[in-house]
Amino acid sequence: MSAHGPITYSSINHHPVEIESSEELTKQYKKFKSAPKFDFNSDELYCICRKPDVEGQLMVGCDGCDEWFHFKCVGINTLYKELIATFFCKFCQWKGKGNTKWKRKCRVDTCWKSVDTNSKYCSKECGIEYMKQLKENVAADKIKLIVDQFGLDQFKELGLEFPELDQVKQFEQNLDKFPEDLRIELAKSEKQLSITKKEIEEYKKKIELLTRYKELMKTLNEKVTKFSTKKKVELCLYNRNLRKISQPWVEDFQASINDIADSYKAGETTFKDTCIQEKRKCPRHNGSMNLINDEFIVKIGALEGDLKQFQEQQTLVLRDYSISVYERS
Amino acid sequence: MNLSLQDPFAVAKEYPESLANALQYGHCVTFQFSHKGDYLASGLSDGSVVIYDLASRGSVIAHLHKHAHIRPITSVSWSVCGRYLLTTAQDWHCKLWDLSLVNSPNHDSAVIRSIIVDGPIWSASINPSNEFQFTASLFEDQAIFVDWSDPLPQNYRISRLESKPLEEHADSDANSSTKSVTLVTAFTHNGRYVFSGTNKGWINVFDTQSLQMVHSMRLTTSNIKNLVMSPNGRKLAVNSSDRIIRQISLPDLVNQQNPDSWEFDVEHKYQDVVNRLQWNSVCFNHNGEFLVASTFGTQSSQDLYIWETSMGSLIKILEGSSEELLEVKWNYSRCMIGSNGLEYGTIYLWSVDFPQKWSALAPDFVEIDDNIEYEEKEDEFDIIDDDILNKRRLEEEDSYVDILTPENHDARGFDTSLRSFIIPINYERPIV
Repeated sequence: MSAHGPITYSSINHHPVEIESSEELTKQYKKFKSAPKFDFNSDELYCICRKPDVEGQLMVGCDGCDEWFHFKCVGINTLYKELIATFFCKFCQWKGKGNTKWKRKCRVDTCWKSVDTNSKYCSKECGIEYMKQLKENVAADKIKLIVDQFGLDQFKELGLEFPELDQVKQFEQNLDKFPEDLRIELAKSEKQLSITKKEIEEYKKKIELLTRYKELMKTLNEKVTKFSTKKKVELCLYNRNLRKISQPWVEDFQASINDIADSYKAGETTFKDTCIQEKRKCPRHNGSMNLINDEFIVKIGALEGDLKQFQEQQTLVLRDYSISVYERS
Repeated sequence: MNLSLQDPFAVAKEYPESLANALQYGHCVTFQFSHKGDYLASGLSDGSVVIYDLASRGSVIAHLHKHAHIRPITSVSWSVCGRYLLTTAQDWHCKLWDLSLVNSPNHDSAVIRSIIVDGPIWSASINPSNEFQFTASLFEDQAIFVDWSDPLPQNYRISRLESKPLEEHADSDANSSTKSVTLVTAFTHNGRYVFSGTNKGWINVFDTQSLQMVHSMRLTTSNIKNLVMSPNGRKLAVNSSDRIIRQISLPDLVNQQNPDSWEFDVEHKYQDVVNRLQWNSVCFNHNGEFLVASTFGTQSSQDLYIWETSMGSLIKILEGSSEELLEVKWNYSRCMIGSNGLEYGTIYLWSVDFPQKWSALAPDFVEIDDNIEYEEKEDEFDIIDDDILNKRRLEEEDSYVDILTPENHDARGFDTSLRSFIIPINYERPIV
């Protein structure tokens, strides 16, 4: 079994270019450069043959010099037209501007399209077509042997997913079986993952505590309203420590509700770090609860993004390892 | 770049005349040109910041959204070197961005300093002489002066710029029932003093070394909305909600050390006597000879007014936007005026229109309107001896043409030898 990485380009030159000496190329290039750009009808001239564009003559543009060339003149079969990733004419290749590169061809012999991303086929139809051909070519008794051995369901599942190594599946328990450098990398990513997960949990807890705090605020407001002449009193109750909200802190606040009410009655504007002005008199802290809540939510969103990134990185590292194991065996 | 090849009359124009470009990526709520004029930072309503490259006619080269603000931006301020960007927002945060870290694959966020204050922030500006100092005006509070040279948050030095009334006007403030709060702050061009404007029309001057108030004066009785210093430090424009822009000639703050001897004379008052327009924002040009202002109110006007400051006469009205304009900023070296719209958050850029003048490229080119019959000169097609021709050519080759030494000044007289920070671009990853 061979591994199929994400490489879809190969830099092999498919078209049969006879090897020309540098001098010969210099001569050709000079001629090519000095050739007229337009004919007498003012039609633009293209390619090494210096002919105007005729309908039906397929051309390819050079990525090095922006000149156009007939497929025929540069010796490329027009069947390959969808397989060219980058094209450089022979002068540009000679000048070292780059090499013509090709896309991977669809696995079906008669299909000349390039493969889809992460696939060996250009389309699903071609994949099915290939398998049909395979079925005809592979002896039926061999298939029967496999089906008898493993059952039809398992046969159907063959190749649906990557055949992960057992030690990779449970890499947490098998850390000592991996090579040193991989072990270190895995340990590092595990640590990152656990830290990020813990942080997310912390922020989720904080949001819960904030909800709890808001409930306590309601209780306090009701308490304050009772001994006030006004219909309804709402206190600001912003505290700069709310961003570091914790269980003991909320409990502490709950315990000091009566003290805060007394302070408000005494006409004070702050209690410890808490702002105990009436909400409508405190425009500065307007919307503070929503703001802090949003801060937590945005933070969680960012951390979850990081988490996903770390996880993807980890699977990639493990997959690379599995492939290297298969390639060795 | 090739300004000297352009029509000298176009180059010599001192203020923009026509709408040249409109930048629209996100809803811009505030923006600022970098000091060198190569970049434009735009604060968006979603709390992120977009940086446009003006050398390429306004393409986005960075979108700072990781660890960005979560409420609309209220101000952006560049350091003089062009590497740092200070942003403030309605989410109570001040953040300092190091632009050398943007677009790099290794660092996920360019925020290197951040503080939280007890309320929304009106605006902030970086000290022109120290990129790690800034002053900010806070909502319903006194202004603060922050020194965060040390990267450790516990070592940030945050000082309040207390505008305690000096004795001379102590009683007048005592009479007023509501408290006085600072609305705007601005550094002098050398960073030595901070000017602040209050909701009661006072202008207070603070020394950035002692952080004490050294001078105070009352200009008006209403809110001061903008304080703008001309880049050469000679003039101050004060925009207040009494619909008047006052232009003040500043004393020599560098050489006159005693603040008591300072005198602030109101040179001109700009106001629209007919429509009684409010002014949203004002800005000087590089030498303080022109002043531009944007107007409040959607139905009344969507234009920018430019005055000439020595006589105080209106010389130009810039038109072309389709919405009310909020902030107005002058890009000195590119001779460009920018302004952001209220409704759609577009940034409009007015600049000088350069007519193409091909004859400037070579002295023997002549532009003609009609074909003319050419009459050859007497000796034009004479046969000259090859030897003489060679000799002449050799003589010409002897004269030394310097094409390597860059010029120190561009055609408008701005120093081009100053190196400014260039924001790195990662060509592997899409920016937005």
